[in-house]
Amino acid sequence: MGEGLDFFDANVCLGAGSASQPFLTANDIIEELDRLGIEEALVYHSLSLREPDLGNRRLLEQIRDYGRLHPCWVLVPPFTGEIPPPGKLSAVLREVEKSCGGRLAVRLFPDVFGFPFRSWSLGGLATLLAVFRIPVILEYRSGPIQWDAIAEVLTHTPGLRLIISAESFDSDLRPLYAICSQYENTYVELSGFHHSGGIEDFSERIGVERLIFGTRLPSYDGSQTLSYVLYSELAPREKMLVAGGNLRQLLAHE
Amino acid sequence: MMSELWSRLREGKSLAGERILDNHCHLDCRPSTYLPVKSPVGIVHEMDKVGVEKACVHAVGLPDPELADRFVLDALRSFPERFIGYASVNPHTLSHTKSSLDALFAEGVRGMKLYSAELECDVELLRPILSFAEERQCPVLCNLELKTVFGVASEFPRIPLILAHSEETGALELVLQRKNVYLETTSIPPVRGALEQTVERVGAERIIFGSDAPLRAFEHQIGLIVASRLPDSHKRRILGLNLMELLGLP
Repeated sequence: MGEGLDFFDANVCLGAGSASQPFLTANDIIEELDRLGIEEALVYHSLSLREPDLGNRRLLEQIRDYGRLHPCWVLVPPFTGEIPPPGKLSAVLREVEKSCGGRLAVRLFPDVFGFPFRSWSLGGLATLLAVFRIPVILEYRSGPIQWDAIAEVLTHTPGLRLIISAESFDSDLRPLYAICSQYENTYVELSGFHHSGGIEDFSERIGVERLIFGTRLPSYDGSQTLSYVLYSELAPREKMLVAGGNLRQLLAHE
Repeated sequence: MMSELWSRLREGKSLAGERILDNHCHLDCRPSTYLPVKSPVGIVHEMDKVGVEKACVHAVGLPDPELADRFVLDALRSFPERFIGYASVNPHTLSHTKSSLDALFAEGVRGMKLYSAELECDVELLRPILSFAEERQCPVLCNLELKTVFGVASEFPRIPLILAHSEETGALELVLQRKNVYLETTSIPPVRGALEQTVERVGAERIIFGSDAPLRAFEHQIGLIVASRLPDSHKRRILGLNLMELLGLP
């Protein structure tokens, strides 16, 4: 793979209904990662978008024997009993972290589950994830109110390590740059970041250590982000950070 | 055996030497969108990263079509070997006439983009422009309502019409029904397996590479084609050979 890059994909979905050609088994994912030359992936389960607790557990079962796949749990605010309350959740997360070699991330879908991404709405969840230093991937949907919300949560919980992911950051680069410039614990996942010269520009203005490789497989074809990184005009060391080094550091709680 | 093109891309090596022609490159920019790269110099630099030989440029997003065409001509003068000019035609303001198009083509413009911003437009009003395109048999990049393209394709069967940003289900039907209609890759969702399915349906010879750069990076869009499970011969058709034929390029 280009210049020995060790790709780590932050955005892969397992399970039916996620795309026209979904990954139904962990092995399906491995085959596609091998084809593309991607070493590891953070995976969430499509069932988690309906039933978070059930989907998260199904995910652990399905990827248990695949050391290259790491769990990304989908969580919702703790007030409705769909996930354990913060007190119990911390023990559960510690348990899961231990079982998967410490590589665990969390994914939030405010639009899918209909909760505002605001401190009052997240309850103790943001603080808990900040204390545990578990990276949180936020699925962003276009709309100016969301940027205010992101700024509010980051102001309230500065330790939260937030990776912002979107289907497309088409017209959102100005607020994205603004957030990342002012909140040092923010990162950008690349599956929806696609403008010409974007990687180089962001790296120069904000910092290469804030870019996280992600494909959005199988909804998107992983080759696009892969090519984007491969052809970026970064120093080899910087390219390795974007391909996987940054995500590995975050998952190692560094 | 692994595709030669895919092997080169996986190594991050330039694809220069392949005939890669991009049918869809913007010289305009929406003020609402920050673009890290937007000047002709910057765009050529981006083309060189991955090995795009030529890009067809237009500026339909600018409110003044005359200014848009001036952008295109300036870019052509600066990079005559790298850019192919498309007239930026707004079907609603209809600022272009046969003589203004003659003048543009005399300066090296070789096609046009019709952009209606999702508004319905009247084929009757477009007739002078389409007659010009038919006379020249130049490619017309259509960002129009599909039913408008249906009408145009029937009435002007000698104009190569290329569908941009048309993910409507009827787009494939139109390509199958009308031999003069082509599908640009901007009309194929970036979903895993979608390109292969589209080729199976309409054939590789009816698909034209268009990136939508600089809103989408060249390499980003080329990756989708090069990493597909298609044979290299199909990939080369889509990446450039089909468009070269439409433009009559050697």
